[in-house]
Amino acid sequence: MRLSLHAVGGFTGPAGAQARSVDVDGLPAPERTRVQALVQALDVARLPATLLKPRPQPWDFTYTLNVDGKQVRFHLDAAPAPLRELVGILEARPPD
Amino acid sequence: MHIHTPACCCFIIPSSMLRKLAAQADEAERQQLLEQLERSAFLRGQRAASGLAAPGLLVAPGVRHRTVYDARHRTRLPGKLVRTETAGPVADTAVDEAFDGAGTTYDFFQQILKRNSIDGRGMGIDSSVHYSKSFNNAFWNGRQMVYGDGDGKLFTGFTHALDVIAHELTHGVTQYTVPGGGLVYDGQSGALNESVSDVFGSVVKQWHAKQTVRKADWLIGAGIMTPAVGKALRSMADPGNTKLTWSGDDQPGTMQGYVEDGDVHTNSGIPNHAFYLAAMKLGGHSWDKAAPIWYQALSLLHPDATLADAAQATVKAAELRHGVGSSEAAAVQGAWHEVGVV
Repeated sequence: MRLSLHAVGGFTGPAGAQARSVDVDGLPAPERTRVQALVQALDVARLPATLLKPRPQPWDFTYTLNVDGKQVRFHLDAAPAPLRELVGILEARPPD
Repeated sequence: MHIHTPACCCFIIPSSMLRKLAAQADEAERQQLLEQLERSAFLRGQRAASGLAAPGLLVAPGVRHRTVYDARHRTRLPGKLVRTETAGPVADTAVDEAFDGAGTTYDFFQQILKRNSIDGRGMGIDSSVHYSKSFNNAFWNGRQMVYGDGDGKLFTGFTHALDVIAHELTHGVTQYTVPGGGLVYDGQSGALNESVSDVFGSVVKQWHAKQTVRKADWLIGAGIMTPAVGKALRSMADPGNTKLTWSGDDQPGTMQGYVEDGDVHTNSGIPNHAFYLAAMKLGGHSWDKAAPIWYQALSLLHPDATLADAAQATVKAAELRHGVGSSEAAAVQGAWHEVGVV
């Protein structure tokens, strides 16, 4: 399973958009188990394509998470807890 | 059991005294005092940002309260306290640049627009540097400014560009000035929000360099990109001119190029160019007439304001400042007409 997170916002907007990806199968066991549990809890196939705040503010980055080809576009404040935790895990990694 | 929750965090020991005590204490006590100082400084920022500051706690105009933190390449904010108002420069360029840039921006708003900090009530200006790893961005998070270091391939960092610092701080000014809590960051109001930050980012840079509107480069983010990528992020004089900026610059300068559902950083080229045209028509320094007009217009807007609303508000502000039928009001009207908004 491959996860990819794309983030746009801030001063640079699309110019500074960055992606962070991870091959879940290649993660160390404890982190792999956690990520797999989060993806399962998220049930990506049933998520709407967008989870956006109706009235975003300058600090609301727009994220796109891709899980094996299935995409969801969201603001962090509008995302369910497992999705927010996945963002935290992916953002701790260096960009692609 | 009843738990009393205080409505406000008030600090009896002034931060200057905490610092003196820390200097005299043994290592364990010193660490404890410094941690207290760090917590106090951040909560002071939070209190001001949440509008909880009591009248007695207002900071007098002209008194700067800057704090810089080191996020140490993590995403947890604010990070470790590394510089306060009473401390001198440190051995970290990004820290000192963030500190100095916040000071210049504070001085501009205080001296030119008579505004006391971000919220108009002396709010502490907090900044965190070294955010995340290879982070190609800077942002205002509703309470403080945050700066990445860039990845070295596209961006070289952000704190060395005064207009970036002023841009981010202005997002806070917009948040506290436009009635209703700022401009919604989407569609035309979002493009306007971005543009207001670019406008004051550029004006603060010009003010610091003492440049006339004709001498100014009107570039946003000059020098933050690696030379291989480009010279600047945006141009207010000629939006979308990739020779002046970078190859991916897609900003329109007029409504003819307006991108339906476009990114806020794209369509902001139109109000950016309107400000540039107005400033050129008004002449002199951008902070003499154009910037005060744009600043006054903020309080005439609403969270869902369109570009047409901005045109109307800036013309109204020009009339309030210089009179109905004045050449200044005509200059502002003419600028918005040239970009196709009116």
